[in-house]
Amino acid sequence: MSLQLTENRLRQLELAVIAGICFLLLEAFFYQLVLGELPCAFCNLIRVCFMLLGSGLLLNQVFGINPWNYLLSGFGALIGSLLSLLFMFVKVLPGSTPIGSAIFGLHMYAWTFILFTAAIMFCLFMAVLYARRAAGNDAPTTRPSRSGLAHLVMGLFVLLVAANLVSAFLQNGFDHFIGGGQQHYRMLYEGDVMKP
Amino acid sequence: MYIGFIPVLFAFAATLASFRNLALARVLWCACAVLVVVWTTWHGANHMPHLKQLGAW
Repeated sequence: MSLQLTENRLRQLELAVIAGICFLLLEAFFYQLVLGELPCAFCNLIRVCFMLLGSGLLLNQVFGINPWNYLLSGFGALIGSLLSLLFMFVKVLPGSTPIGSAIFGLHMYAWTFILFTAAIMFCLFMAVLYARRAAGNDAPTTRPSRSGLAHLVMGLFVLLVAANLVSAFLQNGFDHFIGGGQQHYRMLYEGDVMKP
Repeated sequence: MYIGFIPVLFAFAATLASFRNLALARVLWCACAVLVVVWTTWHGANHMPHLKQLGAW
């Protein structure tokens, strides 16, 4: 295979993936805030796995590409994939009620399993492409120059991670994540915080 | 002990560190990954009765 990309092109590809992660986290907030489907414990943890997937790609954007960052992202994707698989096993039993809406016939945990599994392959593929990268005009700097679009996408990623932190706190307070079917934010519902 | 927002807090701290310090960011992201595994194991343990119905493992 003679596919060769410059480091700059690889970073652009990774930026597109970070934008995709932002889109998924935004979509999760759409279901949470507009449709009123509060995330369950596994759902919250799957969101963190999406952040872990973005972690290595974000580090590549900021400090330049390093193969160890692909390992970090791939590890996050692996955890997300296994977590989604566990979620599917729990919900595959006859009579069990699904959590959240179905999208194109599959529930969100089935989609995340597919996405995370594809993401593992993406990280492996990117590591190979980096190893076989073409010599371009990229100077071996520790801090690569970034476009305005890159700043926008990375800023959105930071904002969404912060929003998830606020959401998780408002939803459960200082208690553990609650299983599916939660109807309201415990920190906003008077009296509920003190209940066991 | 398994306070829900702690893994997300680590993710947020790691995200902020990702713009400043590479080594610290990696440590925080790895810690976040470990926390997600631990939190998943703890919460997943509640589903053992369901998983046992799935047949031979």
